[in-house]
Amino acid sequence: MAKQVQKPIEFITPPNVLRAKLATKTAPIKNPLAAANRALADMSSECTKWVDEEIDRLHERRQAFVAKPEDANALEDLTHTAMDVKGLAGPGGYPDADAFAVSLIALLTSADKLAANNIELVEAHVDAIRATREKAYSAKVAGALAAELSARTAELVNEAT
Amino acid sequence: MDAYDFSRLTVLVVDDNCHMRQLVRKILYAFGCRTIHDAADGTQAITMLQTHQIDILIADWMMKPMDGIELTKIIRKGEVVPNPYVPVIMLTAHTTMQNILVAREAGVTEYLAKPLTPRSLLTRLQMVIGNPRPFVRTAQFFGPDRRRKDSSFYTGPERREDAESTKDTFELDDMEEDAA
Repeated sequence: MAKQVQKPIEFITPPNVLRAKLATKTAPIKNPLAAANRALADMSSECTKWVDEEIDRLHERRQAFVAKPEDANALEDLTHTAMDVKGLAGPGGYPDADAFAVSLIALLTSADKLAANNIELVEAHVDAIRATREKAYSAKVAGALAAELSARTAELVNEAT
Repeated sequence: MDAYDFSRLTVLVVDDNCHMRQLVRKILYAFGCRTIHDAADGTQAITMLQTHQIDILIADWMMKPMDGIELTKIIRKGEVVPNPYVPVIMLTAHTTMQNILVAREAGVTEYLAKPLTPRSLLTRLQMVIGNPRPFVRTAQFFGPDRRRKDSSFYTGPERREDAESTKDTFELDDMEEDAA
């Protein structure tokens, strides 16, 4: 049986001012999802330019990390950019890059020195993301490569944690 | 479900990547939001929260000098910002279960995994507006109830000794879906 406790717990239900402020019988925009998808489609070339910049930055930061794998700032910068690539790859038109970014982030963040001890795997991820941009792979090949890199990363993460 | 007029909503978008801020802005604008402020890190966000009436905050996790987790903790403390109850939607590529627990412990309201999609953002906004979590105050935690169930009718034994003890009793709901 669970232990009874003495410490007070206070539940607070603030008045729902947001619902009161925003609820309406007829929404001014009938289909907000469709409107947002159209807006994203309209800005797709802009998004592509943004993610291209992030992939270039990822490459630069990879080089800085490879030069100093023990440098915590270099690792943090690379991780930060990998996350930005993950955020923008889909809207930027590189959906295949997302899977590589997910696996790269796991490699960079899961355990201390995991990335520093597996530089080649870090480089393989960054190269794969760059190749995706160059349309060097078909979606099928990109998927297979992402699965392989992801499995290798998962194995290392499991060993390390 | 209620329909919402997002033109009455004031949102603060906090991300150190200007492209991500523009992307979020674009989606919010398409939803009908017309009052969208932005900040490049937690420190700027605090200034915005002190000077503007913000309804919902959408914040990235990884920012310098102050990240989204630190920002959320400061908001929930209620010492330097006027509204400790402001909903915080954490937008991040940190999607492991461990990260989600860290975000919850900080007082994050909803978790939104990158890459951002209009559907995921709309769902979180609707959740925050239509089905807000009650707040819980214990000796060690103040923030949205980490279990979405209505706790007010629970008559069984209290399992929360403090914020720490709840870690193994979470009922992970929609946040889990994002982590998958």
